[in-house]
This record gives sequence, structure tokens and C-alpha cells, in this order.
Amino acid sequence: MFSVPNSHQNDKEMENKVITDVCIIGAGPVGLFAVFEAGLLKMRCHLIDVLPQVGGQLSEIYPQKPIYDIPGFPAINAQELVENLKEQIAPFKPTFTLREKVEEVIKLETGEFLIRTSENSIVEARVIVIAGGLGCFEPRKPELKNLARFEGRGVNYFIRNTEIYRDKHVVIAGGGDSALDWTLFLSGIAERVTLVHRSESFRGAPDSAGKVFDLAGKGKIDLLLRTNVTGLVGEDYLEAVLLEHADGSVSGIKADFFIPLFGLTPRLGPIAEWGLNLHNAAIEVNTFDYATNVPGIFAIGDINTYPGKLKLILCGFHEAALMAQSAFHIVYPDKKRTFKYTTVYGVHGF
Amino acid sequence: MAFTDSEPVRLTIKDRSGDIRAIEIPGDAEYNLMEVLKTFNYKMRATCGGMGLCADCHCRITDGLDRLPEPAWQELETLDVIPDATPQSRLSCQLMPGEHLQGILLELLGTDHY
Repeated sequence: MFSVPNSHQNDKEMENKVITDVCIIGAGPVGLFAVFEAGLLKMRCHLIDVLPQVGGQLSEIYPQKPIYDIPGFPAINAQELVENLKEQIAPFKPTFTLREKVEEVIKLETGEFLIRTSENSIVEARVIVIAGGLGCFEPRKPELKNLARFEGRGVNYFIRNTEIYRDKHVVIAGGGDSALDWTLFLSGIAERVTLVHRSESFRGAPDSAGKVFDLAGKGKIDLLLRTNVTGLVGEDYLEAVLLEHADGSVSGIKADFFIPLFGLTPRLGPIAEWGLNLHNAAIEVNTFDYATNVPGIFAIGDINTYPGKLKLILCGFHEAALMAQSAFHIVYPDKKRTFKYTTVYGVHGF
Repeated sequence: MAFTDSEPVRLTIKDRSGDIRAIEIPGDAEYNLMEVLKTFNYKMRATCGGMGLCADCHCRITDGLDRLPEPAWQELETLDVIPDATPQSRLSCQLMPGEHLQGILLELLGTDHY
């Protein structure tokens, strides 16, 4: 992170820029609740998350799992908690940038922060709250020697524009729902789809697995079970993948695209480069207001660390409340903050 | 951690750097093996906290695999989708301490804090 004058921003950035009081990085449960606490103090929030939906780990990893330690809820499903939080913060009209990763944080001479995402979205905010859980969810990558060389040159971890696969040879690896679903979908577009799976059965949706076996039986796709992708071959672009079969034999098949679909896993990512004090991949904060060592940047929820830290949603909620009290003085340096109970004053949205 | 005085279980752990160490744990520790290993300072990020969903505690049982209880559906499903699983793979969060761990050799894979 470094300071630059406002002239750093070009005209295009100015056009697309979101200006807000608080930019919350991470739209998991703690990031969502931070909107409520900030909203009570008349601070507007914009949230950025790399996932396509809000909810963080709750929506991405365990939406149907019950949570038993949310005060007032003897048990609540993870996704239901997310839905409740969305309803709770709706009066404060938060705005969102989803499917984008924060790449860069710049402190302007005016004191504001300029936040730039992977898609070049720009947010300008007085305060940054990092509620990034365990980091950005990124695809799990198979250990293949030259994988990085072919990323964007035939190796894709996400399928966005399906038309690029039309009439191409596509190899998908994985055994989960997304591998099954994309095999089915691309079988109608690509010249040839090959699904490579390490074991001999699928534990994903039985319906999808049945359809995949059916297509393979009719010869419309190639289904290679008990097989691993062991190598990638090509010059500038991917041309073939190497396979190792259960009997130890090795073969190669033509591949314009290789799509490994092994789920997502969190990585700390660019946060590590913002000049924040870190310990074991967590951001060190004080327990007065969960401020980091960089004035104006707070960290709440699983991403922070301090003596006695517990990675619990309810602790993150508490941290959000205290953070907002200090953030208020940055957003409104000339105003006096008065503490108001919602039971007395209610909730007044924007 | 709620350990009691039951017969200790001795197992051998190979960490991600290749160091091998024998450890002794109570046979009826009330926490799963992932949590027990953390108390021995083995780093385990454990994104899902022990639900068998994230595979941060992925390990390979190179000796004693046949003595372990069969994996449940959730563990099998998670192992099915990660790229580096082998027939010897287990998730340590899905293993409870007990006599079945006696003498096993466990190789840590998965993800530490980073």
C-alpha cells in the first residue's frame, strides 16, 4: 500500500467508481452484519467478494449445516442465517461487487482509500473493513508441473463464456457436482468432452451421475474412471493432456481445454501485500476496536487475530459492533457519537 | 481438552516437511484427531472446523489403514473432489481417537495456516 495524489485516477476509473463511507472486503456473515452496525451510525457500506453470492463460507461450503451457537437461535441452518442477515441489513441499502477480488489498496493524500478489484472496479471509501474470513476462495489446483504455463491458454478453472468451448476438445477433471454438471452441459456444445475421475463412482447428485453414465454408454462423451491427469502438452496453447490409468498405463488425448474442477479453497491472496501486520496468515488487530496497524483499516471475523481469539461467528458480530464505533469518528470526524439502543430508537434505514 | 485416563494410543506422524515423530494420545479423547493433532502443534487450517468438508486436514494413512473405521459418506464425498487424494487418504477430522489408531503411520497433507 502506498500514498498517491488523487491525480492517480484516470477518467475511466472515475466513471465506474463507487464512493462510499465503508468498504467491506468479504460478504460473509460478519461482513454482512458490519453493514448493520455501520448503518445504525449512518455509514453507508459497499461490499466486495470474490464469490458470486454473499454468505462466504456459509453459502459456499456448508449451506445446509445447522449452527448451534448463534444467540437466540437454538439451531439455524447456515444459509438461513445468511438470508436473515440480508433481510436485517436491507434498510441500509448496501451495494455489492461480487465475483471480483480486491487486488490493490491505495491510500490517497485526502485520507480516503482507493480499492481496485481484479476486474478494475474502483471503490473509494473513508474506511476499509476486512471481513475476509480465511481469504479469497480460489480453485483447488491439481499438482501438474506446467499447469501455470497453460492457465488462460487452455486451462480454465471457471466456465464463464461457454461459447469458447464450441466444437473444441474439452477435458474435465473432478468427481463433484460441478464436474458432472459441466460435463453434461458442454457435451451439447463441444466437439468432444472427456470426464476424468480418479475413483470409479460419483458421490455427487445421483441424477447428474446417471446422466453422465448414460451419455458415456451412448458414446457421446468419454468417461475415464480410475484415471488421473498427469501432464499437459502444448506449445503456446494446450494441445493434449497425459493420463495415467488404474493399471499403470499412460496415454494422451487431444485437448483444446483442460478444466480441473476440484472445488474452492481459501487463500489469503493480495491481503498479504497491503502492509498489514500478519501472524499465521491472520491480521493482527487490537481488541479496542479491531483496528489494524494501518489507520482506517479494520479487520473483523476469522481473518483477524489477537490474544484469546476464537473463530466464531458470534465473536465476529461483536467485533463488527466495536469496529463501527471507531469507524464513525473517521467517517464523521466533526460529529459527536451518541450511543443509541435499537429498542429505544428503532432502526432507521437510508 | 477433555482427556481421561484411558490407555494411551501411540501413533506416528509425518509432517509436511517430512519430519517423523511418535506421539501418544489418550484413547478416549473427546475431540477428533485433527483437533488432537493441533494440540501437538501440527498446523491445520481447518476451514470447515471439522465437518469433513474442506480437506484442510487431508492425510494419508501409510500403515494401519485397514484398522480404521470405514469413512462416512461426507468424508468420501470430500475426498472424491480433491485433486491429490489417494486410496490411503482420510480426513483426520473424521477420525475419533481410539484403539484403532494404535500404531498407525499418518502423513499430513492438506493445508496449514497458509
